[in-house]
Amino acid sequence: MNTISDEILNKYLDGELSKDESAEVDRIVNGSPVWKQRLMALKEVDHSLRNMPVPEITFDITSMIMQKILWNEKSKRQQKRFIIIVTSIFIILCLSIIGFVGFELIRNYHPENSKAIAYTIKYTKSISELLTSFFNKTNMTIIGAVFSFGLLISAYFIFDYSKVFRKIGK
Amino acid sequence: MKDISDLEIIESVKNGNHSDYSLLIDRYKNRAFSMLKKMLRNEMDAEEVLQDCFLKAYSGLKNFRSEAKFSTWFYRIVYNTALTRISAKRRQTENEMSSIDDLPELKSNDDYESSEKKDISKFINDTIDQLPPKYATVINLFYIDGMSCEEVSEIMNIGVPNVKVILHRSRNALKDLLIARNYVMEIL
Repeated sequence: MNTISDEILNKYLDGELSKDESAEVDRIVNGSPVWKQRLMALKEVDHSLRNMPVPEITFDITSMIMQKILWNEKSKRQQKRFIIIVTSIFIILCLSIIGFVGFELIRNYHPENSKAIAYTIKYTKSISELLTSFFNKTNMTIIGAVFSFGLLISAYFIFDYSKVFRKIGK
Repeated sequence: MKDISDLEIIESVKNGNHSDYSLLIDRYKNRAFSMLKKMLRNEMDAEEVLQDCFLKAYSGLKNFRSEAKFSTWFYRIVYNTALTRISAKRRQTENEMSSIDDLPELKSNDDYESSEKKDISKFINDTIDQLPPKYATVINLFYIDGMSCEEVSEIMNIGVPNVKVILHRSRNALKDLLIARNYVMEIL
């Protein structure tokens, strides 16, 4: 190695040169004030960077992040609970309807009328009568009112949650 | 608490001790903040992105493979989140960061008068704030976090030779500034 470059000086600094190459760099640097100055400057840069101070965060970021994490965990649990409750209600409703239909089928079952079509017509008729009576004008008003109330309550909670999330996000 | 390894903390958090995550936050917050501050050049943005990074890391902990190093994995999140923030702020930054060839000429701060000349460290610290985000990240990870070029390359998703090129160029630029400002003559 008869020539030297900044690249070689960097490798020299990082200890990436072989023993012979390092000795050659030492020889060239000692014989040239320019290269000596460059190596000294490079060493100074390396030293300063190694001792660079780490800036510290002025506020308690740990508590803030932990608060957010705990809030997220809590809301996740609440969401889970909400889904479980809604699913349970839906399943209970389905089971009630199926149970009621089954009960009606058993109650109205008469072995002397063995014709399947007759049974089907009969039970379909009883189900349709039941549904018609359930969804009559008065009941529909009540169902509508309950449904609207439920919607209003849900809208309030959604609005409230979004407000809290926005506050936490800031 | 210092004796507990990152992996032990992660296992504890995974087992339901959510509050143990604060140990990881305390361990990495300042160094990650330093990197973000240099990349984003704005303290407020750095704090905001840092919070996002810790939240992202927390939600991603269940996917974290214990054979990887948490620091490498976390800094990759930090680096990518910072890049996304920079892209959102300045679309043209994409070009600025895409190549390692375009290191802008660093300028020394003329406010440094002779009385401050000896404070080389301060001069260098202030000057490296001018480095492009990619260069600042390499310097930060290599010097402040004491990572190897291989780890830096893994975090930044660039080759090891590129990491070395960035490192050498940054040092050379700072070295040239020191020579131009006659700092080294005083040392000699």
